[in-house]
Amino acid sequence: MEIGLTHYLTLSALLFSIGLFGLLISRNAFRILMSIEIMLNAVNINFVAFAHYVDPLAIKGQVFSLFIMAIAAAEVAIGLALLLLIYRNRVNIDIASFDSIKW
Amino acid sequence: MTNVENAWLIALYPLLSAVLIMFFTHKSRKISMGISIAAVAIGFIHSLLLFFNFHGHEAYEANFNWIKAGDFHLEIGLLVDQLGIGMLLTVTLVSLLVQIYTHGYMDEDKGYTRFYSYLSLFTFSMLGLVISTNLFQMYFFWELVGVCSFLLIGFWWHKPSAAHACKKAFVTNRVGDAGFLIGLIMLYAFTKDFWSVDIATMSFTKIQEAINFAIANNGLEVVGLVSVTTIGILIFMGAMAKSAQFPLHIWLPDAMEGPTPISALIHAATMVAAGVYLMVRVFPICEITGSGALSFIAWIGGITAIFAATIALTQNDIKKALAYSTCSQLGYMIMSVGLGAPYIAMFHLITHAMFKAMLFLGSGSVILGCHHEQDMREMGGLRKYMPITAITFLIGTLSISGMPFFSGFWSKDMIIAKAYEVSPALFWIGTITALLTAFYMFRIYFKTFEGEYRGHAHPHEQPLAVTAPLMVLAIPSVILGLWGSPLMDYPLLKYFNHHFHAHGTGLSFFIHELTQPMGYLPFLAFVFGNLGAYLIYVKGITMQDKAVNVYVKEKFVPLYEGSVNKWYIDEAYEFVISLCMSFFRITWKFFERVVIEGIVINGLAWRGSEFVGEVLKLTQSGKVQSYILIMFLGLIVSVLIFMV
Amino acid sequence: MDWSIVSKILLPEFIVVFSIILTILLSLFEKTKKYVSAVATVALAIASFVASQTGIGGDVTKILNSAFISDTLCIYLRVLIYGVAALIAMASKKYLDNYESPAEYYPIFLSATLGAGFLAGVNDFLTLFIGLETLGLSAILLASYARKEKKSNESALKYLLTAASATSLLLLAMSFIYGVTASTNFALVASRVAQLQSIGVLSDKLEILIAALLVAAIGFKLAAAPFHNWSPDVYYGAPTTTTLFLSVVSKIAGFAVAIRVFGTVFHNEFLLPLLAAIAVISIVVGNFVGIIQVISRGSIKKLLAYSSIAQSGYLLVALTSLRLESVSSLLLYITIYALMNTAAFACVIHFERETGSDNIFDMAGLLQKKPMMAIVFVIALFNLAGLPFIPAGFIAKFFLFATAFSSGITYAPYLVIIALIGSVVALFYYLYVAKLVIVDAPSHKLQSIPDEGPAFDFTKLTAVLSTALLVIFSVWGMDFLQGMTEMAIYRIGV
Repeated sequence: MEIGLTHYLTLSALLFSIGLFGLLISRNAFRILMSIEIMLNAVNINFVAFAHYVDPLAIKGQVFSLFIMAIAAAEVAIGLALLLLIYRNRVNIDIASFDSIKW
Repeated sequence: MTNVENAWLIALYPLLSAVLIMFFTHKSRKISMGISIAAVAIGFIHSLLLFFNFHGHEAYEANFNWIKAGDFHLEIGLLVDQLGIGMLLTVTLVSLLVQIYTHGYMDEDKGYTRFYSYLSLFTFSMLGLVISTNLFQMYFFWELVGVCSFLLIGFWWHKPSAAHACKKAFVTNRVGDAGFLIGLIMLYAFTKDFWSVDIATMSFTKIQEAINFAIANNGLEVVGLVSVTTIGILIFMGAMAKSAQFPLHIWLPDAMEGPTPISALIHAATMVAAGVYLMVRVFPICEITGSGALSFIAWIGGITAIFAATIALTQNDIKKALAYSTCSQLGYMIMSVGLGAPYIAMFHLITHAMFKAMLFLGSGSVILGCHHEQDMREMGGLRKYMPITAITFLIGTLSISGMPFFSGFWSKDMIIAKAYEVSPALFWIGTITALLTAFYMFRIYFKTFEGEYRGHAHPHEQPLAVTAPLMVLAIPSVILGLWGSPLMDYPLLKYFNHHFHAHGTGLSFFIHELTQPMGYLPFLAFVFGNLGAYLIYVKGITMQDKAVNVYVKEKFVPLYEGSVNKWYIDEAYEFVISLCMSFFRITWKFFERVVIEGIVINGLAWRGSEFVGEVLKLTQSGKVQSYILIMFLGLIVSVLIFMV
Repeated sequence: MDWSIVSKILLPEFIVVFSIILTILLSLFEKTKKYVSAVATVALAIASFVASQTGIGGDVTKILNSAFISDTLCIYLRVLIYGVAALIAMASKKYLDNYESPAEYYPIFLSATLGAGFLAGVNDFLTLFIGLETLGLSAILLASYARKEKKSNESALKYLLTAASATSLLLLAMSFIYGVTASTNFALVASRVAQLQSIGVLSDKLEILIAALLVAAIGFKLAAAPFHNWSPDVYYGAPTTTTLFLSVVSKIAGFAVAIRVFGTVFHNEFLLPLLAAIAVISIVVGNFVGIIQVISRGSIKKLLAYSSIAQSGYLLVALTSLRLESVSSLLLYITIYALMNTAAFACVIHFERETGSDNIFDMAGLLQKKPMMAIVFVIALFNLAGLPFIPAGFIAKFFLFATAFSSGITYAPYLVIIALIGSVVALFYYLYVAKLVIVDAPSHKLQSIPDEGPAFDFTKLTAVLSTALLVIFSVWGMDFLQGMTEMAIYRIGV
């Protein structure tokens, strides 16, 4: 069986869904950050696959995915710094306990 | 200086005086008063000169671009025609007299200069409204007079009742104004393509032209009669709120919490009449809808007239009783517009402005004389102590009740006669209202000025600053109506409308009219109302050994209580509003507790515990995740809507 | 690439970047720390002025390999964004002194503003992504700035997580667009999408998916319901200066993106109903929940958050009919909205700094204690409500609705009517707060502080300046609008 664009897209969709699932159900804030990484990686797979199949000369998609990785790293850095700060203030990073601000 | 091109100066003087007082002279009472009165006096003289010098049949109009963007443009400008001059004279005259009166009335008040600055600001806004050339500009000033009214009702804001009243006035007016604004936008949007090339329909002078164009070019069918009727009724909503028409009348009686000069100027003579003025200006729009919008307007007017009159019968607060009387008289004017006689409405507007301003100023004089007592049960016999006030008040009462040859007689009876031609039901409503009017007005007069003094203060006549405006206003209250009467061949009505035609003129026609039902029935209403009030409140005739009013009170409890409690309209509103509020509250609580926490988090989790063990973790999930979930649900729903 | 053109067009950005470096350096030394806010304010003001000079007779210039476009829309929005950011930087100074190391706030603030300003001219999905993240990540840091306050931590975390989800949606949409058109450049994407649509090979399902993803991701940035949930929490938890930044600068940038992406790049028949739907939901949610906020004696910051959700709804009404007039009315409205919100929040910042409270009911009787702040605040509220009292807000609203109403889109009249009803509902809470401020007796919190003195204060200056600009817009707003419409002829180059 020839591996084609569809397979990559399906893989990406599955990864995105797994990431979303983790994002919605995780209790530990670290796991949530990791889930977000998974979602962004799913998008990366999309970009790289499209770059290979529809834009093989300019490969803009691959460049795009490099940017996504860089910015995702920045995002995680901020997230981790934030969690550290929260841990210092509360000794707890359970996402369920962050509901003191409501409507 | 007196050129018609400079008519905008009339509005500018009070604005200048307001600014001067607010920023510079507020420390000095004398200078502030002088500036304020001088500004409006110059305005009055200027208006008089206009009245004598402006004879053209064509209106004078000057426009400047205000908004221009693409094919959308609006103008601001100056419109002077006979109608506007009539209003200018009325507003400046009443404003001038009220400002003089204020000097006597507010003498001891801490907010004396602030009051003058507000008065000037109001006068500016009202005059600006009068000289507006188009609906949009008028809407702008319309809101501005609303804001001034809000400021002035709440002038004594430390009184909770005044604070409440100004809030109520504002909210009620917003309801009407929202309708007005929607109507305005609809008018612009629906008609710009079909009726004319530019914004013609927004401009008063071009309304008739645009409508002729529309009729000639099949525009009416394209736009649709229903739409035009809706536009007419929506614009009328603005007038309903401003002119206190049922069911948006609730704010006017409460507005009497403001100082009495304000009640006289804004809430009796000028601002509340702005609704009538607006309807006269946009009359052609309502007219082409045939019976649609017009009969709605006429019936709202008629209902307001009789409805407010029944409430006025039992009020004991002198200002509230007069406020309901204002409502009722405004009902007459609106009814007249609805009956297709806008110029008669203008006629009544002007005569009413004179005698109602006088009545309110008289009531203010009484209130001062009785040391801030407003309850008529604590008055009585004041004629001995306050002769000038009593005589002028009696003149006003006679005029509003329809004493033959007084101003109110001509204007009111003309409306009733018009109703006789158009709609018998409204004729009877008008006649019965006339009966009630005569009764309650004389009730007020007798309870206040005749009999023995029942209060505990030491009533005394007021200084000249207070009584002089009363005496001045008494003159037009008596004779102004003659200019609109058949005896003088209707000069005032012809001044407003060159095409005015009457069925006849002269003394013989008048006598002939009196022999018709539309002539003698209102007269009989006056006589019987007057007589009834006399018998009950002066003679004190009895029925089954009780005074008649006591007898009625005990015999017809629901009717009496209904009237005293204003037919529970306020309570009904409050009930509906509180119902809506609790509805919102409950819906939100439901949404928050049940939908978000219950169904989204706990509910899903509950099912998850049965089906998918892992989903159980949703139970512990915090709020952030529910936000994200809602976001994704929104996304999924928006995809599904099109897919399915 | 002609660097002279690049450096001319991106000069405002270079100024901001330079000021970022300068503020970092200044914040290192104890002696120079106090100049940081002044440097930031002046740099932003200069950037705003320079941005206004970058246009050459309305020409459309593309630079950086067509990744950045300089058209009238870009120039105008950059002037606005840097100008308002300068006002905000000015208002922040004293408030931030309550926190430790206030000087460090400004480099982050400047980089967030840089992201927003850059978004005004993006012409490529890659630059769009980078601009959004520069803005978004810096804004998260700004929200978490009150390090020791739990609510600030919490709001920053919520913002981070929701923003990351929205980013992933946006990237997904971009990846599909890239897959369909093999390009990320706006002009190429637009022409290829149109080409594919015309020959009918683009499947409806894909178009729907892309439209929905874009609306969700950009709707998040605009805080439009149902993608709004983050905004009341973040607005409440973050330091008030950050709240002001989010509600004004971030929102302008969001609309810049929305105008470009929806107006020129990706356009199909599914998009407009979606925008209309989120406009309606935003108006309903913003106004009705705003009322609950007043009933439940909540926070003025949350109330303004709901108010700004509703304002997004009004703006989206204009976005549903992307015609010439509606774009210029949108620009007028967002300009006036920015000024109104800046004035209102500057008052809140001042109030919060003096009393330490942001409760609506603690603001009661502000008129007696601080007449100037109270008057400015009430004017801002009246303008937000659209009352014609200093009529800038009214004019903007009228024009917005009037153009939307006559746009010729079938459902536009209903949208306008819903929006008008919504704004009548909103009057309740605006007037309620106005009444509290003017009529009621001073609250306990207010009684304990001294009366307003003549002391000069940059927060007050901001409030007064914004109000003065509102007055100017009331008088010359129409000329401005006319100018905008004429300029918009060259608008949005593709």
